[in-house]
Amino acid sequence: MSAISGLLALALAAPAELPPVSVDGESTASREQQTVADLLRVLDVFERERGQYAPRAELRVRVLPRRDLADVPALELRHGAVRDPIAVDALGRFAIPSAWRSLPPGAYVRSRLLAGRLAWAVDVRTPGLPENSRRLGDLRLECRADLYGGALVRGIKPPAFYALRALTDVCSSSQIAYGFFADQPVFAARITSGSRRAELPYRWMHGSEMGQSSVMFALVDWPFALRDRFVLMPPDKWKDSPHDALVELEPMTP
Amino acid sequence: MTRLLMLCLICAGLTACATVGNGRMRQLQPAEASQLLQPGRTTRAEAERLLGAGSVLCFDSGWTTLHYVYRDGLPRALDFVPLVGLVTSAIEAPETELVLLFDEQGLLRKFRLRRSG
Repeated sequence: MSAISGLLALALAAPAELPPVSVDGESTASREQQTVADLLRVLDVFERERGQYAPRAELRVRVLPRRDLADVPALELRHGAVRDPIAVDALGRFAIPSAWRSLPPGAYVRSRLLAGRLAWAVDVRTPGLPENSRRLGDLRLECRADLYGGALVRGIKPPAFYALRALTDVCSSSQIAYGFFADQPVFAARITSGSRRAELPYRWMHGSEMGQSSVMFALVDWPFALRDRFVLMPPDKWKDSPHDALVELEPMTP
Repeated sequence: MTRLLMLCLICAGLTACATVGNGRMRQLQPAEASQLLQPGRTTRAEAERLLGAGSVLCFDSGWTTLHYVYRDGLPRALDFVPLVGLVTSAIEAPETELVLLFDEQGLLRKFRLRRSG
């Protein structure tokens, strides 16, 4: 009885509110991130080859929720003790400033999201195109800046890929599958150039040939939340079409 | 003898055809398709009753596609096989393809009939 009354006295003597406690720390769980060095490799290829593929285009890096469309990327530029937030536009894109070339070697762009939650992509766009269309030269340069630059996109790259890359242009090779994400769920794609107009067979849409599930899905970006936006370039990569050809994307919803 | 058998198998493969569905879409004309398939009204069950079971792809949004294809020649899946695909993707063969898009309620929203070759 005396113990209970002692505890009661202690409780009554305690202050009504405890002072706030701040705890500094960070989970060690792996997060989505890219090194600034890799992003600058993307910029290097873009600057070197834009004259050939997309002279008026602008370069961005795009981050998209890979597993759940509700995920927010929340990006920061980090180096040393610096934590600078990076704003992304409505399409999840941010620019690579040239000033990043002077950042320390370990600089990186990091998301609060766990590793595996984001898809990163090179985004090359010529301004002024019709709605729901992409320019073929822009898409080709996206491929070049990724596969010969920063390698931001997840992909299955066996040793044969690197051998092929050293010998030929993998972005026009029928042996390499490369695709892109539309800005919204897309039902069909067609390429137009002058009077030529060709529908893309469905086997190149949504990764449909891969079926509903595969053990390979963990290794690539498109099979989850983004699947309804995914368009695979055909094996000839529309080889006979000029860079100015347009890829028209028909949205799922009107 | 083994070589002859192999040759026969290869020839048979080259002249083969591949179909998904009950084969009705092989002869399907755009006008008939527009009559049979009505966006906003036709359900997936009705479409499958008309055309047989297609290849289904489900998206996280709950929307699905139903895909039917009739093709003379080698199956297009071979396009995805390294090296083999180099040859098969270069071979043009007549192909008829029908893709149906259903919303999360199972109602048809769009369809597309494509013929090539």
